[in-house]
Amino acid sequence: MASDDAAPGPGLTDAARHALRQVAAMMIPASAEYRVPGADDELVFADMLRSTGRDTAAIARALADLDARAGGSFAGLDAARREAVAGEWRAAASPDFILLQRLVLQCYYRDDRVMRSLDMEPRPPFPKGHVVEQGDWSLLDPVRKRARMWRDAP
Amino acid sequence: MAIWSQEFYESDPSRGFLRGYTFEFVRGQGAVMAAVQGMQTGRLPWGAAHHAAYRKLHAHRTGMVAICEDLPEAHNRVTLDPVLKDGHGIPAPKLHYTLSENSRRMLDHAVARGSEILRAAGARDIATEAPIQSNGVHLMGTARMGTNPERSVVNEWGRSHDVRNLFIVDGSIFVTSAGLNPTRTIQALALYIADQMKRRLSTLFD
Repeated sequence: MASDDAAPGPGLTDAARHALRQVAAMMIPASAEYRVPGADDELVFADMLRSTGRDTAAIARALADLDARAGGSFAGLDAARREAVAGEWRAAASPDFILLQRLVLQCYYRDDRVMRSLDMEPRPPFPKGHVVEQGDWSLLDPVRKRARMWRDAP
Repeated sequence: MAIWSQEFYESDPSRGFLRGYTFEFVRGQGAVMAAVQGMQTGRLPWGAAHHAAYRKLHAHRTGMVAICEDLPEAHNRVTLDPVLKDGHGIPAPKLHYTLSENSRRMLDHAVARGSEILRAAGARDIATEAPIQSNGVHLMGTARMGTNPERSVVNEWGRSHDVRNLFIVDGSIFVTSAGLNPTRTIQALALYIADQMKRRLSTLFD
């Protein structure tokens, strides 16, 4: 794992940031097969810390809940125990956990390297747009032939 | 971009419910929402298997919704909350909503027909949610339009039956929820009521 020296997120303690990064790595590990970084990658994690925004308190609560389930410190558990505790935490699916999971996914799947691995151009759709493959518009011919279903306003 | 169908919009007694719904077919979601919903529905695992599972979902998802029409049911209403107030002491609105048997049957019909449509289009993994929990709903009615002051709040041109210099011009004057996205109808009602006010200007408050 890379260092935790990314810009600190307001409201998240060092311990919380460390736990968040551990969770991100467990959620989406790096893959040589798909040539993608893990969600604990330096750039992805820095994006997370910048993006907690209005959900910072909820994410801090989710990580505090994780620590409580771990008996004090999630980061201090061995790998097998971390898997078990994280599994229980995930299964409980608290609203705070849902927000934390969304943060990780949002920052991971907008990473340029990840988007390229999915054959996506890392850019917004506007103003350049995307070419959409056209379907069979003749399917709508019977609809076009229908009598109009509305009436004129008086 | 979306495609709509109103094949099931009008009442058909053989379906077991009154009124109907609009089907709205939408394009697949972007990379982030595919991941978020995939996780929330249990289709995406954590760990090394995540990547292969995600690639089965990405760019292979679509969605459809049925916008169902609630009837004017007296148990669905807005009242003032007896306890919750804002910082100025003004009571918060309290929303009462219970899914009626008519709406339940309509939802069941929509899920069944929608699933058939998706399977015919080649879908292999169909998830349904009715009523939808994680998306918006249209807040309609409660000050419905009508000619009878005993059964409606505003008259046929938008003026309150009880307060003659009060006009209500929004989605609350609908007589049902309507089974579609209501903004354009609300805009049309606004133009209609404004025209009525101009036409009746000299006797507006009589």
